[in-house]
Amino acid sequence: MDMKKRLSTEEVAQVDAWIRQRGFVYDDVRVEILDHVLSAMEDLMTIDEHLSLQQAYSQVRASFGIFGFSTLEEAFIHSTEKRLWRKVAEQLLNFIKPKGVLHSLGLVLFLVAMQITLGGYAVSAFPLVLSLAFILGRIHIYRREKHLQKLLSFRMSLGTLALTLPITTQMYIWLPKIEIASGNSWLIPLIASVICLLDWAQWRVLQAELDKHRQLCQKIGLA
Amino acid sequence: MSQSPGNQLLKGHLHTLVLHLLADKGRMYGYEITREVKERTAGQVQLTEGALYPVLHKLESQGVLLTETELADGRARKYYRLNEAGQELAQSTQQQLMQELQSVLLIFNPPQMRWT
Repeated sequence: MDMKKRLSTEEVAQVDAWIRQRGFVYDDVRVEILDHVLSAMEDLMTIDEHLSLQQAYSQVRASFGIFGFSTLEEAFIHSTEKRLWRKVAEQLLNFIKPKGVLHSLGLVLFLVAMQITLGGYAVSAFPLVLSLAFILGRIHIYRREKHLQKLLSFRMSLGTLALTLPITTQMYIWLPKIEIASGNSWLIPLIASVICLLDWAQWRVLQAELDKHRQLCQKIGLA
Repeated sequence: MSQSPGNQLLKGHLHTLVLHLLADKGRMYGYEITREVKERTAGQVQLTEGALYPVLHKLESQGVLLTETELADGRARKYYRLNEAGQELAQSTQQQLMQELQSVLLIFNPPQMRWT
């Protein structure tokens, strides 16, 4: 019966170095590529014990197709992006469910009161200030969580979920003018509430992702 | 998938195979799926990595797969398993594929016409 080939620590480090050389530097992507490549190489080297490490690696890399490991990285990026936005949508839905609807109504009423007392520009400025605060929060998290910077999903959760600032800036500039032109006094508080809730939903997802990333780092020994 | 007759037939049903294997085995890692397909079909169907990972990640983004990373054989390994929605999807896609295959078989082996 054939003994199953197990690659040594040095051989694993060599394969890891080859994968890094190809530009796959993020740990969460590399972990999956590396495990697949090593498992496949071990099987190949069990069948043909004369196969060198380099030959086995080349054969496995070829099986990934003409785009090599990029296929896996691209699939990872697409799925992470979709997963993050699905979670944001789930969080937004929570704001209209019985448990969250009171917070949403409270926010709308607060902004309506602000509109009455301070006017449209103050209400338009509110989501802008909130967006800026969340952006600063993200920068702070990025600088604090140095060991997570090696995770592509961490970087994506910071970047993908920070898209409301351009919307709030445009809103601050244009919304009071539109309101004056249309005469709808409820328009600004309503849109501002939706933008604030979107920002808040993104922030919650980011916090949940942070916990997940920390757990992953502990498991793969990056912490 | 490489260009063998088995692969041609199953083109477009890759997600069904992956869902079925995960429903069957509980949880699996990427390489294990390719090896399982090869073993079960005696090498007739070869699932390439370039085809497998887009399917796995698409199913993950659809919210039917859960992932967990653990240390195995001294190295980090990412496992995939189905959630409840995934189990249901596995069952429905398998039934759909079986029906399609039975329909194709009817073309080659039509039921006897009865003249009364």
